[in-house]
Amino acid sequence: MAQQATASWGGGASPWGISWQKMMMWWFIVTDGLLFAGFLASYAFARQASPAWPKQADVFNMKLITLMTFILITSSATMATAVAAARNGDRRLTLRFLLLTVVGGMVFLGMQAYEWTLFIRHGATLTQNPWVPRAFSAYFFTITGFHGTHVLIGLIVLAAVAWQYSRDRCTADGIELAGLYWHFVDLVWVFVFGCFYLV
Amino acid sequence: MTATSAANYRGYWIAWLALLVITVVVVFVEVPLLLAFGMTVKAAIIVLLYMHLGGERLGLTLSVLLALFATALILWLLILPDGRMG
Repeated sequence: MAQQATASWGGGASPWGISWQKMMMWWFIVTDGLLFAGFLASYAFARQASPAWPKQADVFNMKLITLMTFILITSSATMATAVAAARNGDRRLTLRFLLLTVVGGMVFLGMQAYEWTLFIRHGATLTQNPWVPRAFSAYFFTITGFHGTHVLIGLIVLAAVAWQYSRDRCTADGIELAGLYWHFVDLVWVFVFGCFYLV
Repeated sequence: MTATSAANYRGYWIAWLALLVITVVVVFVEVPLLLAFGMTVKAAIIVLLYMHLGGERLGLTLSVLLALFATALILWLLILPDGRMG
């Protein structure tokens, strides 16, 4: 994330008054959001077209998944606090809440990995599973796998940003950009949780 | 921490509580329409408040939201019914 706190354009006013860094992060978020929208629409189509689909409560530990959701939501709240703290110049609070966000993300990822092992132990793979349509496990692994990878990338980014910030080599703008990415990861989970696990 | 800066953070944690309450409600009340509404409200809280899109210039806010809404709408309303054929 750049050292510059403000955009320095040679060509006049910056669109919508934001830095190019923030603009690019929003572009990325929109396109990545469309990726997940595509995945979920494909899943919804396959589910509609299938003669049968397993009942989620029979396959997944819904208490575990709900707890995972709570944890990710909380990590978003800690992230928002960290960004605001950085804006306020409160270094200690920023670092503390960045750390809390990372811990939350790691717990979420650990629980997701645990869920995967339970699922695999039941006999599910990418191409087959003990329940009716083969697509079921394919969609599960693909969607949660892509989401989990995004979480992992987010954790690496957050750790890097926290490290740089602690050495005064990252600005509040940088923290905010990392925050945008992290909130996006939480946002995707809202829809994955709702569409895949609850409906 | 001054009163004003503490107030900065409180909004995020009130939103956190709202998100948790909505989550609990949609998990226990298994009504698809309520779920759709719940997801939309959660998304709105995260995007408009946490991601500060509500505080950005209208042009940016609309560009992001319309891009996502329009595509999601097309995907779901046009593709989904095809799954029910046959």
